[in-house]
Amino acid sequence: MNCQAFEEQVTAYLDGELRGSELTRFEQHMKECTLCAMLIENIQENIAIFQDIPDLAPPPHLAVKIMEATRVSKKGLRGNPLEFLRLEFPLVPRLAAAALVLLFMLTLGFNLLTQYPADMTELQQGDADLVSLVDYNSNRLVTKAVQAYQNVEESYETAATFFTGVKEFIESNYEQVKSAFRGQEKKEEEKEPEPKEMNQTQNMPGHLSKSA
Amino acid sequence: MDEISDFQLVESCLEGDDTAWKDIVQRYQRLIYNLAYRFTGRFELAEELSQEIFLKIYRSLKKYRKQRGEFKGWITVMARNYLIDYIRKEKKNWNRYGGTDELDTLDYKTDDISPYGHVEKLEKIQFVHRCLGELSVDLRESLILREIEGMSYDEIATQLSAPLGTIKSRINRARIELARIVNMRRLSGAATGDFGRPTEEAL
Repeated sequence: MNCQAFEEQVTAYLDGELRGSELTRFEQHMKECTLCAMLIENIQENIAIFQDIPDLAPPPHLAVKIMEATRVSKKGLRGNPLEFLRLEFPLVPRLAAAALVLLFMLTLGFNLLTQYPADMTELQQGDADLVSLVDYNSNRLVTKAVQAYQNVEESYETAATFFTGVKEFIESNYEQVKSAFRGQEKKEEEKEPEPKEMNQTQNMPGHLSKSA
Repeated sequence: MDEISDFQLVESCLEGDDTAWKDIVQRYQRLIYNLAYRFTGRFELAEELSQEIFLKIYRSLKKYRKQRGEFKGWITVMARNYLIDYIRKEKKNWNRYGGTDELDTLDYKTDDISPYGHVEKLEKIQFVHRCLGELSVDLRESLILREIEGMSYDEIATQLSAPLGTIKSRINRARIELARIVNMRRLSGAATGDFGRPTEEAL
């Protein structure tokens, strides 16, 4: 047996799994090779150190620090104005709300960038002298600003109508949707075999988006 | 008077009873602190991690169900998972804590050894833990679960989601590499006197 083969069997030897000729060859090599014998001795020393770790009394201030950390955490939860979203709604409705807001922002941006006043094309075909050009440019800027303001106003009105509708819908269906979520979460939790903390996405009810 | 059960404490805690949470902390701080110490070999770090683990337990209390088994087992698994995640994330900072000066400020309480023997023992543990920090994360976590937590190979394979053969091979390599690192550090410590205060025995 060479040193490499010896090393491959170290754990099997320490766990008492080597038998017969394998064990004989292993022990024979240990007698012949000082380095390998020392290796086994060092490993056994380390194992002994790990197995002999004493049971320590925690520092006296530890409980106080833990209570303090928990109190801060609790305060943080209460103090967050958006916390109700996290506590009451699972991930799908939250993502849907975020997508709606994003869509609104994109629509608004698109409107601002692409809508021009209708009379611009007429102005472009007017006189090409300097005065007309200055007039045209200043007129264009003012018109664009006014149009942009109107676009914003329109977008806000549209959004307000939309969110009022959403709010009414949630209010009319809130209790029903909430009980459906809770029922589903309960079922999921009962199925979980491990106490290990699960990600909330794993508990997401499949019918959620349909209900919403 | 009968002691309030863990489940009752959890229920009270979920209803907003701070005293119940305080009782849970008092009851299990020793368990969590020692687990963190066995994983890290550092007092200050064990204290910091204990706080983080209790915070995690607190935030997860509503997920505890009696039919899942003992509360003690539930928090032990949660703490162990947290510590394994910590080892994986903090591989670069493993040795940032815990000079041996820490040992001078501690109030040692164990049942069977003299204060002197205790300090020597803790120094040895801290020294080997420092060497453990030089192993790769894969080897280190497998070795900790085997040697310190005393888990079986099967349990480790499940815990780390790795094949049994891989785990056995990692533990074998980890034992060999750790023995070499400890040896090397003892020799360099003997030469410079600045690493882990090796004991007389080690010199």
